Amino acid sequence: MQKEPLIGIGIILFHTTEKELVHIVMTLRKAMDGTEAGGWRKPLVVLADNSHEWDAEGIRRVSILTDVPLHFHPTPANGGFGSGHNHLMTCAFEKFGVTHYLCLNPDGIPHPDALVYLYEAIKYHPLPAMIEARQFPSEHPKFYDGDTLETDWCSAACLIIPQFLFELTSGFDDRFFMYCEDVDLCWRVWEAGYKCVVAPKALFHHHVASRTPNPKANQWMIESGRALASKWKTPGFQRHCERGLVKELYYKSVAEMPALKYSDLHTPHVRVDFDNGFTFSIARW
Amino acid sequence: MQQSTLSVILRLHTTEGNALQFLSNALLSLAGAIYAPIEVVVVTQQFSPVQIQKVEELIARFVWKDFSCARVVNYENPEKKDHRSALLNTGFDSAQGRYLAILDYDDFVYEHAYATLIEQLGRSSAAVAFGGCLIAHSTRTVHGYKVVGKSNPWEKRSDDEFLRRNIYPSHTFVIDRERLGGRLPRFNEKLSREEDYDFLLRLRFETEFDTTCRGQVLFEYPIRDDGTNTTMTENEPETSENRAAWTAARATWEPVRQLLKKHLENSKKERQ
Repeated sequence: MQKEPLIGIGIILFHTTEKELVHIVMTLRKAMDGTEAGGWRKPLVVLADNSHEWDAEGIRRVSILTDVPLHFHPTPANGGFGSGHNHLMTCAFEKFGVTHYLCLNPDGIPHPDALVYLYEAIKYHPLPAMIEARQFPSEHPKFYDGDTLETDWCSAACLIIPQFLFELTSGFDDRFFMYCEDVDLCWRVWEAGYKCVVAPKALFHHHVASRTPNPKANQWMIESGRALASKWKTPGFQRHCERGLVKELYYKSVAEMPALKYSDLHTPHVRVDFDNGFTFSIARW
Repeated sequence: MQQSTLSVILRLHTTEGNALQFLSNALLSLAGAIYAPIEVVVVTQQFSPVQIQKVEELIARFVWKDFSCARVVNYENPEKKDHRSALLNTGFDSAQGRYLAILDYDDFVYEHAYATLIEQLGRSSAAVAFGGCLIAHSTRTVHGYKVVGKSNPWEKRSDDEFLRRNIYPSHTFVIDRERLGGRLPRFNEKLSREEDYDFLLRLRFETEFDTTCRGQVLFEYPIRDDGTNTTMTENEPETSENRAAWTAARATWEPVRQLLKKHLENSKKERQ
């Protein structure tokens, strides 16, 4: 008999204040109450902190304040976004028996019905699939098919990763410090014969429109684009990123840039799109 | 120091169809807003106790931060017509906040919209500040509405065009009513078309318009291709009733517009 799905919500904190964390967890509590009311298993929450400002006692205090059990699993070091989530995913799947991991950014809040819609999406798709919530109010412009809901890749801001696909792919490639690790993982999922889809009714309120330019984040983005292009054997986009890194004065020359030592090179398939810049997909607008 | 409260008047005409789902999206955009405290006043039109309870239960599913809150005010008038203007006046009367904004149940705001406009009001002598808005064109699919494109028809319209037609959607501004004193106009309750243009023309008599942030997209205005939007447009079905409503609206705001033109010309001459 197929096991009823159980979502484990994983959040990697990074300079998150107690006030912010309480708001996120209180919001999650409302959404988790909705899952129980809808006959789904109540998700559980696992946390790590890549800024190493939180300890177990602080998390316990938030747990008491919000009346939500929180499972804290510190990362040994800040290995980046993908590394942190791989660490939490391993804990969630091995220790808590969850069947699906929800990768959730701390700079947003889910709609109270988002978890129910994600559970419904898990049931709707017959094979394990990566399932992305729709970002709101500033929706990601990348294309998805209105009938099949398929999309070239899913943003990891609010993303369901089934245990099966985690085990199949080993999760995020932790050589990406930040950005593009979700694109890479999704392309590997497509490559393995599985799907990436959108759950359009599951909304994740994500602070995207208000982001102010951040030189470090911009550098990580371009560096990750370069690494992605190298890994997926697209030298044209790699050169485009390298020119960008020099033009924006992060490096004087390509020789100064981090070495790209990938032995696990992948051949671009139909879902791999380097023609649309960092959207990595046809854009709807 | 706690910031001054912003009251958002959220107009809701029905609980049928997708109305509560759209309302929940509008509420999510307010619950996730950077500016706080926000007082959300959901003004409903002649709702039954059961309908009010549904809306209150929905509101209770959101977490309101930093003294933000939301409540329902029911506008009671058994006359079966669109009381859109009366709903807004009811909301204004009930609002406690220094700042005022309007939102229809099927619109939403970006997280920094109100923070940006209130900050701009702090730099300005005007009592109202406007932000930019995108139209999100949506189509119905088996899985709900899908945004298929976005456009900005207001982007290239100059502020002067306001004296010819409305270029400011009703959810794209914040009013500082402390700065207006008691001079906040009311929506003309006889109007069920262009009540917002009539209101803004009257408001322009009382204050400068700060349009500094019009180039910055802070709001979205979803337009669905199945005709389920509540905003009246001139493309609505050609019936004698609709025609009469548009004619009445124009007859109401036209004299105000003419007066405003003269008023602004005189003000300009005085400054020179």
